[in-house]
Amino acid sequence: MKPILLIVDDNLGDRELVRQALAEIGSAVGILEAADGDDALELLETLKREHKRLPDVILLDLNLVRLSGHEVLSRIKADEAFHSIPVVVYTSSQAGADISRSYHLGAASVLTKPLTFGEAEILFSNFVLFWLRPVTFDPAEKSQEPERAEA
Amino acid sequence: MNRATESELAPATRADESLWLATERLNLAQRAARFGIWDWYVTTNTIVWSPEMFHLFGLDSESRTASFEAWQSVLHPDDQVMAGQRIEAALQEHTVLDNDYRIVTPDGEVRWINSIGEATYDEGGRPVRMIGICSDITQRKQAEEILRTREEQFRMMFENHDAVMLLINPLTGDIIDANNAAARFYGYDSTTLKTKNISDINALNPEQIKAERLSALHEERNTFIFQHRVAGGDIRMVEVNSSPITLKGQTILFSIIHDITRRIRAEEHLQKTLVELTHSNEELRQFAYVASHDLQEPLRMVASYTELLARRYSSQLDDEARKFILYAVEGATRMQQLIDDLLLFSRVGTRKLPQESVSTEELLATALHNLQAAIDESGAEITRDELPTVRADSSQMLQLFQNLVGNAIKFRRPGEPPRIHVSACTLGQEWQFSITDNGIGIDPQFSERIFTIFQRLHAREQYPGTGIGLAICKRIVERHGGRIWVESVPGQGSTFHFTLGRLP
Repeated sequence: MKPILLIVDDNLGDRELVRQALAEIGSAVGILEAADGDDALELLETLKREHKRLPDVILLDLNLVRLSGHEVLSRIKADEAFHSIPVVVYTSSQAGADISRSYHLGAASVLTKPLTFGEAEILFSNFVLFWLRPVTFDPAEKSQEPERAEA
Repeated sequence: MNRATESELAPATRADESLWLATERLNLAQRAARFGIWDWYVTTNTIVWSPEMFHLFGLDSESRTASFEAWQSVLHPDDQVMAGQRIEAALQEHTVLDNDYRIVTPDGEVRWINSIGEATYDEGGRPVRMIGICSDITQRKQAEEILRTREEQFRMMFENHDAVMLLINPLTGDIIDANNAAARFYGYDSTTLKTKNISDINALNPEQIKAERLSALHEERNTFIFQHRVAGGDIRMVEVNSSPITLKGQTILFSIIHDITRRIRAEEHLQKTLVELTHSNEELRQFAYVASHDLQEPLRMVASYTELLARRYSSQLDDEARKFILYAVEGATRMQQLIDDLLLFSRVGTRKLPQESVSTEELLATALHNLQAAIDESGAEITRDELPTVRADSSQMLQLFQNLVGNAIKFRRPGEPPRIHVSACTLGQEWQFSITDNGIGIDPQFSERIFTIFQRLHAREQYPGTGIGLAICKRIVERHGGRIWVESVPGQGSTFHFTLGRLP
């Protein structure tokens, strides 16, 4: 089963670049896209309602129209159904405050958008290795996981 | 001598002990108080003086006898006529004589004497006898004279001084006196001004004015900032120095008024400018951030997609198309460099300066280490004098040295290995650093412009770079309170000088 990646970015070119980079490195990934935060939250709600498979990883831009990336992140983390989905912040910001706030809100990682396509290829090979390869785990194993409320 | 004089006034026999005692007490009192008693029998024109009278006049009681002539002989020439007339007048008008006059003792000492006397008259109203006392009032007169001189000096100063001055009754606030400068400043004539109360002028309410006046009177405060209303109704900002003084025995407030309206306006203007400057600095910082941040987004698109285009479709394109793509990539790369430099430049201005002791010798060594590749490649020979320790931001200083030495290496003449010398000398309270090279030099007409941001003098192909280096140098030096400039002979080399404050 192919892992599913949700890309939340209001820049079409940026979403396309991620797709191209993943294609270039030959990674078989199912891709969902959302053009802004509201769009992303709506998509997640729909998947949940229809009992469809949720994304394995969310790639989230910070600088979004309407809801900010941080806002979207905290809403995902506040929702019982979504909070265990790793959210990787994908931003052009290198401001320390943006980065630390992302981690504080529960980001799994913060990646800086690369300046060239060559760099994007390298970044996404690592990204796939880190966040998409091990996502298919045994459901039986999942049930042995302690309840979050007890933790 | 005392014995002798006592026996004069003492009764011939000591039968009347109480009279003797009274005389003794009187003599003692006269000596202590320095007053003498005179007794003038007008009809016979004989005079009796108590011993203290001789003392007062500096006369020897043994060799001189009391007489009208003896008295006249000691009178100050200027007071002789007046003293005689006053006695004459008292006798004619049957009034009490009370006169001050000067005498000159045989030693030449001038003394002030106060003489009080009263006459008795016969039935025809003719004076029979006049008795009185004389006392030495020289000290009081001197003190009065000093006081009078002082008050006169004060009055002269007060009247003619260019500073606005008022004398104010500390209790009522009435303006007792105002000088010419005050009349000019307030726009009233002196007479009108003297009929006013300070509350007619001060914009505060009367209670507040009174409180301030009392604090000046009790010398709790001396300097006040007030708003004073002048004749036309205009309000002037004034600084008032007010302190109590004593004039003719009265305590009054002496106030000097400085018009500080212009100073206050200037200060306000300065404050406003400062706020605006801080604001525009903040905007500039924001701009640099936005520029470095938001400009990178579209740039990333251009760079990444031209790259992707080149990769995927290179084989389907001809040489010219590939060349166009190369130019686009180059443009994007340069844009990236410019944005990075702009950010670097803006950071020089926004970072708070840590002031630490830095050895510029060590800094230069680090700079040369960082430039090692360029030094090796160019075969540069770099020498230095002894360099001082300064108080500065070490990372900015490193950047300064690295940029200047880096430039000296970069702008070398073809086929000529760079020879660079770094030196420092004291210049008053400052250090002047100089970096001299044998490079291509700079046309003097550009010696100012080279320090502006993104100013370049050469084609990029010839000497690469964005033209930010010297702008950053200038900003660093100026942030440290110094200056930077260049002296150069084109084709022979340049010397960059900059100054830094010396360690105290």
